[in-house]
Amino acid sequence: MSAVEIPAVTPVPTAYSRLTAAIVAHPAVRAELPVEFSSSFPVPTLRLGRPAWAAFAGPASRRRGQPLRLWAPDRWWALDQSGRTLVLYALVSAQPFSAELEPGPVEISPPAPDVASYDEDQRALAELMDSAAPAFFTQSGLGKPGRAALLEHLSVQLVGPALVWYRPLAPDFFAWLEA
Amino acid sequence: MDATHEGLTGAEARGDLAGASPQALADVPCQLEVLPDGQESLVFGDVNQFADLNHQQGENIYGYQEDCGLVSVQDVLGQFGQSLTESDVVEHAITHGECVTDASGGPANDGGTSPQSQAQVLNDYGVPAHVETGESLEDLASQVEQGHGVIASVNAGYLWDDKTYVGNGHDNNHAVTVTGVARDPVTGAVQGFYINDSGDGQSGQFVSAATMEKAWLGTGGIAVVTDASHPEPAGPSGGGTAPSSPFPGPFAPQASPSNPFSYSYPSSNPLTSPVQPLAGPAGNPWAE
Repeated sequence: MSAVEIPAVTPVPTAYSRLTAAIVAHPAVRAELPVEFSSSFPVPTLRLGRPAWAAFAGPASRRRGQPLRLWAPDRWWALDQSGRTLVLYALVSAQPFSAELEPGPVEISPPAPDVASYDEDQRALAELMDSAAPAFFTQSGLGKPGRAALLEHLSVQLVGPALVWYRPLAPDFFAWLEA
Repeated sequence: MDATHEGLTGAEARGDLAGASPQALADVPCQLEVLPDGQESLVFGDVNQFADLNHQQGENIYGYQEDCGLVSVQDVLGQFGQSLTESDVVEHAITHGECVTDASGGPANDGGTSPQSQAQVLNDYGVPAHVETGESLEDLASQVEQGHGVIASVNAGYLWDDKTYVGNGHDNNHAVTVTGVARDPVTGAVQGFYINDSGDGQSGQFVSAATMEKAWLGTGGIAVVTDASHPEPAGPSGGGTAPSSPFPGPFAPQASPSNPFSYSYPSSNPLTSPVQPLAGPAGNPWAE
């Protein structure tokens, strides 16, 4: 492989980017999650009776030069609002997060032209989430334009057709975004 | 990676690098190389020898395709002299419940392993290993330079410079073995690493430090590390467990009181001038 020079990026981490790192890095998750799987972006939810961040993971196929293919999640988990405490970790077979899940596969091909642009899209998502999540958790604040911007950015720039699994993971959050 | 010399061990070279204390390290080959960007580099590790152990993942009778972790385990077992096929390792993991066997989408999506499972399979085969979290590239380099088998959990998108596979940016979604470390001959700074990547079947690939910073360290710095060093193929004192590292960090193992190694070190620093030949009984150690 030729040397791939990716500039070291050291942005100031937002609350959401720290949360994303924490939800993937939780020891219980790390101990169980196959590295080959794909983990979702965390999304806020109140479905567990408290403010929490939920994520899912499932099989993924990565073939260089081809779109990422994802299948239905086989596990999901949530951390509390602070990102420190594991609220739930469950296999979908034992504790489904939805009565029915789209089996997949779905193909993910982010529109960003390169890694640097994709990183910018991630940073934009983090900024939008930093504004939206506190408002969602308190059911107040953010206006419709802000909610719509977040939904469009998440669905168009980052997760694409995998939104079919994000919606049932946090139905309350997506209903709030679309209200 | 074609200029292996036998006159200078990694331990010896490292002992003179950037004023590092010449503590005894496990013996790994060391050679002067030119990196893809034209920089000269001291490369530590059995990169050439271990390159032969890698192959494209998915070569097993079960049809499992997503088994980069198990293929990396197979690679490390080969580093420790165990010649196994991918099917052997997959079968073992299936039998012992150490890999995914019921993934949605069918068998092609099976074979996945957590780092803990990778360490367990290595343990099962008599190569004790554990999972560690590195806090710097030096932590990773230290393990390779001490001759440990290393499987790094990385982000395939950052590793392959492909935005398709970056995911949430913190996802370590691929496993590779790390077989070599490239250091600046003058400063000792880590310039990059050599890896075997079963995702594309390429072996002995150079990955810059900046890329590894994002792909490995930035996604948690998780690595499966063997407890012992590689068996000594032609070293001066035979094999054994790794003594302490001159680079402190969570990867640094404890010194082994029974370490039988003793090394001699060059009395002068051959590395302050990158291409200066090292005088000695073995002649020029940089020569092929």
